[in-house]
Amino acid sequence: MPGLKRVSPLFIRTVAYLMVLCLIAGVFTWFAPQFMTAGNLATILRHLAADGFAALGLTFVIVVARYEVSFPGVVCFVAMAMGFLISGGLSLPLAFIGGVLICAGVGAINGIAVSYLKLNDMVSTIAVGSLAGGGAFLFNGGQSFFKNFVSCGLLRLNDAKFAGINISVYLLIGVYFVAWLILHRSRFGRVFYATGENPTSATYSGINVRAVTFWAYLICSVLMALVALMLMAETGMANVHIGSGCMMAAYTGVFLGAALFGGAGVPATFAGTLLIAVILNGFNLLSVPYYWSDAVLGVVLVLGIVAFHKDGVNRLKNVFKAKKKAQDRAVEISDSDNNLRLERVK
Amino acid sequence: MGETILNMIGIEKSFGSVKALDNIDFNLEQGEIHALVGTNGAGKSTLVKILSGVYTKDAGEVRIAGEPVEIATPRDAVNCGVAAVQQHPELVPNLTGYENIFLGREHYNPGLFRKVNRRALRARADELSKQFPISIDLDRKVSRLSVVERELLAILHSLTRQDIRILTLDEPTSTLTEKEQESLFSLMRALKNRGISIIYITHRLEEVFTVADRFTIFRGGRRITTMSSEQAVQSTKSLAEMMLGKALGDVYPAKKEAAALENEPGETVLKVEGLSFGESFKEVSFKACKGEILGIYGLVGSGISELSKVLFGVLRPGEGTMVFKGEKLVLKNPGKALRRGIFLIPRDRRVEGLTLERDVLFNLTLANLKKASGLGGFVKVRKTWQEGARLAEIVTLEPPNLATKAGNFSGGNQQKIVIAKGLYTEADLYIFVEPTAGVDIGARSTVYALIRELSKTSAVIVMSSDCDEVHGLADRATALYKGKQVLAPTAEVPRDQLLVAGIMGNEERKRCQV
Amino acid sequence: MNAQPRTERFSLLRLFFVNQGLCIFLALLFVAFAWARPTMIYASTLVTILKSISILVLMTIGVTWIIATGQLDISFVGSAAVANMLAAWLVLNGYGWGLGIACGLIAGAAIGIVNGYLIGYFGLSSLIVTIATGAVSMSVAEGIGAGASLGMNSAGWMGELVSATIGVVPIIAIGVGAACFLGWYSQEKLLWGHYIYAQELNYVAVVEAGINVKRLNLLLFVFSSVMASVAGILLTAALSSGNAGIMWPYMVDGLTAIFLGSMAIRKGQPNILGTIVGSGILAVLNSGSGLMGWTDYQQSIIKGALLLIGIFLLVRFGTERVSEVVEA
Repeated sequence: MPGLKRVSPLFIRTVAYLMVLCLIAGVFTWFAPQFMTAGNLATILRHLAADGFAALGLTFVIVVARYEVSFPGVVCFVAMAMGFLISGGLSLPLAFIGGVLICAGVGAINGIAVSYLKLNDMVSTIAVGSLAGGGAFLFNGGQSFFKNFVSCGLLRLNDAKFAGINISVYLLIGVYFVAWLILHRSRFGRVFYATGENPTSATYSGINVRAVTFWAYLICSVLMALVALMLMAETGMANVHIGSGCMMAAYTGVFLGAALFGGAGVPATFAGTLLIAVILNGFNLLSVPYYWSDAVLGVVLVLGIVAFHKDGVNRLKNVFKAKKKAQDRAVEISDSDNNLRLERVK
Repeated sequence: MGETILNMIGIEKSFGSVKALDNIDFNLEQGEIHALVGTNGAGKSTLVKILSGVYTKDAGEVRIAGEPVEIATPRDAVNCGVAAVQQHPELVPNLTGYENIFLGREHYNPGLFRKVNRRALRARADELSKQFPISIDLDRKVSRLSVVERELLAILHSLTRQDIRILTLDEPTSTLTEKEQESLFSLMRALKNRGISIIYITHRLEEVFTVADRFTIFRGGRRITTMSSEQAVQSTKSLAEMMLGKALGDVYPAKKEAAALENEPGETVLKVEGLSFGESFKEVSFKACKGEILGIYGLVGSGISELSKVLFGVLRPGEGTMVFKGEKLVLKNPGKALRRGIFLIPRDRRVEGLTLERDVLFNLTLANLKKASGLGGFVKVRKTWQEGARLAEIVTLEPPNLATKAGNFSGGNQQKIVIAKGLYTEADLYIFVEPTAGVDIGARSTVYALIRELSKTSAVIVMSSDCDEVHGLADRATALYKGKQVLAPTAEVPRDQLLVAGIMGNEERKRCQV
Repeated sequence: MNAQPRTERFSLLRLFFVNQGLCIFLALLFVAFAWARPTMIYASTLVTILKSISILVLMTIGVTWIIATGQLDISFVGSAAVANMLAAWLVLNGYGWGLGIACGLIAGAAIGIVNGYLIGYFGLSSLIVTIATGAVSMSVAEGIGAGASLGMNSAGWMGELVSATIGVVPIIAIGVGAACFLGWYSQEKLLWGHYIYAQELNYVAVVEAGINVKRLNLLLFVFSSVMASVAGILLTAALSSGNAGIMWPYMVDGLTAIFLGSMAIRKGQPNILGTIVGSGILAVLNSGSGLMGWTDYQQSIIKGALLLIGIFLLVRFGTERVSEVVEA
């Protein structure tokens, strides 16, 4: 029987990942000894929050086998919206709720466009992102908000600590835990994965594939409110370009994690995002200019995919190799008498 | 005929721990049509795929016309003169027939910057069809052609490359009617006359006698025997035994007696009246009762596929009524159907029935996640595992390992997983579409037994294009022909009557044609 | 129950007929702007518009075909940026345009080769790979200028070439026009186009027919990157500076042009002529918005809306895509 004789593949991967993490940390410490200080490690974790939430949101969309590129624009938009509300005197919790509602609205637009109107996911999210990014300027003519940021307690999210670790880290872990419960321990998670891996069979199992895809986009957008919140807490203001750095970090986190662990998922995304954060922090300590960070992420992403894709884990193939699926179907023996193949769903 | 064009010696192939081919020796004579017969998983497809370069052999030697060759890729195979036609040939739907025939062979050296000269291609296609007469309109787009026409096109396409000496056909007739098979066979004979040797894989023993010169039986990765058709004619019974390796018992379980059907009718679970869906089928009516199996026989294209989808909520009917357990049934989607108590075992189980990348347990519970989860939606892992093990035992899943990916099981076992998935939903009506497509004889009787067992506690509808299957299983049978219900649901329908109804419509029509 | 057939190839005569819808929209848009701002029809504006179209078409000509095969290339702005900055740096440091152009093209080709190899031969998803290579390229481009733009005193002979016009028509527009004609010809008449569209319809069939799809894809991605780098070099000459940041808007513009354009002629399949018309719409939009005094962000809102509406119309009135499972 397959699998019984070997050690669990997940265990092997986790060990391998930890080894890679330690190796990279070791290399950085060698070149920049301040890497291993408590202060720096806390910084890594603190920065992790914003990218971590973005990657988490993206994970849901990737799991249903779709793409989302509107979120940087959405982060800008909702940050400006929340900044507007806070500067207008609203309390932090209320402003945040407002932000969540706005994100839900945008997520709904994405979800409707992709799921119900059946528009191409890449293109429609580019469009929505463009709309949102431009819309961010409408709140204050392009100028930043910072009034009341201190008094409403926003900065405490970034600064306050509990047991030496930032509040934002606890928040991150808390939200990730809830997401893990949903995606990996509940029936809803199974519905998401089933939709992404085989929407036809999911439909035949009674799953409303369109609704599920819609919810994936909604959840993704709602998490962007958290991203905006973290970024505002970190910089102390809301500016119109605040979200533009999210894209690469989020995608790299999700796909690197998927490459490392054989499929997209909450723990995988956490691992990927953590690795990215460590790498970026290290490069920062080594005084590598900011504009190289995307290049680093890009290279890491490609290396990660290439290094791990030949692995036998098929979930990985589903995530990455869109065309290979078509080739595989030609090679496999199809033992069903199906003559409607020319109308196959891509 | 006479000289050996192909020698395969000592071929071995394993997939993981499964040995697909065990020391196979195989010869093909020049200009012969050689059939490979055997049940699913016996190795015939694997051998052919090694020859055509899709798989690489683990050990052994391949010689073509005496010369040893190494075939590592499909390209190599073509260069050696081997052309392979897949079971479901891939054609480009929006291109015409002649464009598809010459796809990739528009010029002798097709660089990317050569001109596409459609008139020249059309002329070449005409030439080709003179040599190999097929009655297809080559100007029509492939998406508008029937299955057999596409099959023939695919064969012609495979011939346009270099000097093809060997042609392999992988189960080309599984979706063809008997009439259509004849067009295929006459093309094969034309090819044979031109000196092309053909290897031809099939499940069906009858075809062996119609068209093959010799045939080879495979079982369990081994070559059992090779003989000519004359030798085979004398021993039809033992042929099946050689394929199965044991005496053929009764494949179909006992049916309900007609008297019992009349006197003790089960509760009517589903009543359908005047059901129609567009052009696919019109005015279909029947009853499905607990305790009996309703069979619906219809060829591919007769409307049974669409009917099954309407019954399951995938498609919405144009007209007609459905009454389920006394209540009117309006299905917006399969979810509603499942909640009401209807389960469909679909025709294409790999695409519609299972999530192949996931383990058995995931698939088993997918249609009834409510049962599988407790408070807050959390999946009750241990409970579902126990239930899953129980169901796996009922359907005799082999190997009964719930953690294995569904895609790693054979066709028959995959079907069992789908049935178990249905059992998990505790449905009142089970609808089977082509229940044994791609399932070998060994597993077939198990599936039939399961269907019969199911019918004792629920209503069962079996839709199939296999007349024997419907006739063997159903207590009551009806037939569809081109969307019309040509035979009302009747008990104890003679096989011939059922066959004629399905392949020729009404008997009156038959009389008129003559 | 069969899906209706997709488009057939149109002869040149019928092209215009079907193309009408999008062209009419383009004409109306132009007229509307001209009515609001008469300076629209001044020679200088027209020249600017034609130059814009040329640049945009160059950027997207390769991407058009890549999307036609069902894949994506998000890295084209990165290629343009690298070529742009590289040429600027070389000219600024006295190496001359000859070397500048050559290096820019080589850089573009290199990016294209990486894309083509990873996607065509290694089989990775085009989206992920081009997101990655695009990010790397952009980063490298910014790195060349150490985060700033590179201003040149004079754009030399290249600058003059780029500014030269014959009447209202810039020289580069003529060059691009010729390239487009070649592109259209190969798309319609040569195996090149035949295989591209066949690949989108049934990738497996094309592979099984023995067509070297991997090589085709490699060439496609190299072509796309090189064309984008040509656009980047021309921009360096036109603006007398290397500036990676200006490339970003071309991403949305380019994809909008391609998708709007795919509504014409081939109804749902991206094609050269469609992209040209789409680029025309965007160029007119850009110029017109400038004349109207609309800010960047207002433009980006309008373009986003335009793109969304565009693909919505495409789905509603364009060709029928492959069937979904559940018919609502």
